[in-house]
Amino acid sequence: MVKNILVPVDGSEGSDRAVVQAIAMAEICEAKLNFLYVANINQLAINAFLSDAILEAVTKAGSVILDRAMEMVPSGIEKEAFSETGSPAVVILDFAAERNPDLIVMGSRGLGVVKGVLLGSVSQYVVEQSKCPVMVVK
Amino acid sequence: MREDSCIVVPMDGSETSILAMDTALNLAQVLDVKIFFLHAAYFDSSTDDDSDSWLPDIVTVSVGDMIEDVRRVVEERLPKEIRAEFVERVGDPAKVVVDFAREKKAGLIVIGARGLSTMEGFFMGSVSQEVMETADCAVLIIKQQKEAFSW
Repeated sequence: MVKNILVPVDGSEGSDRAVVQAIAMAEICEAKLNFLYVANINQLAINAFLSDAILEAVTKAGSVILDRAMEMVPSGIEKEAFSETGSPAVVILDFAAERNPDLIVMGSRGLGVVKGVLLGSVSQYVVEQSKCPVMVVK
Repeated sequence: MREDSCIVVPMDGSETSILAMDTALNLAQVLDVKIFFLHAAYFDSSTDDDSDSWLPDIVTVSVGDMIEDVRRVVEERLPKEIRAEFVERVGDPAKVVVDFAREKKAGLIVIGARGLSTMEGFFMGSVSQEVMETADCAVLIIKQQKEAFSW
């Protein structure tokens, strides 16, 4: 049974559509929604160079995105927000390995084959490495 | 997903494609939508050759028989109350799947992953990856696992 859905969010249009789709899935199977925002900053760089002000700004941007996702969820559906720092694809997979969601729903950046290879696509990496089914929303 | 929408499940008879099928059946039951099981390959029964060949069996296997095997697997597992259709198309599999989903205005494609790593996938090509990148609708990628995904 699908009881836990992981929804990585980044505030993009694609991630908004993923939230909508994930809510629909959660309604069908009465699952809990776990929203995960990953601030894409290197942990070492944070410790060494970033000032508290920058850190605070990054954290704030993340909580705005998470709040928006949480507000979209109709009442009656269980939900929780998580914020992490690091490389998004790696953090998403670590998070999934730890909490074993039954499904990951995420947006796609909409890059083609060549751009995706050059720039690296988070959704592609997650699809390849994830143990659970992944739904990529367009 | 809208009620007039449908789910497309590309079938090649592999283990993950059967998991994808079971997942789609579970989903269709809840959503009350039609499923299209699609066999997409470069060849079909018309390209099969009866003559003996020096090539190993794995290369000369009859595609017509393969399609029939897949069709049988689908029919055996299909609950009566689910609206479904088995469709054969010839061509580049990823392109056929994406075009078919567009033609039927599908809301979702459920597809099995072959489970290749980034480098293997890069060199050998991955149908599920190309479908994921080029499809207009949502794509649910099913990984190798013990059982189908239920609700």
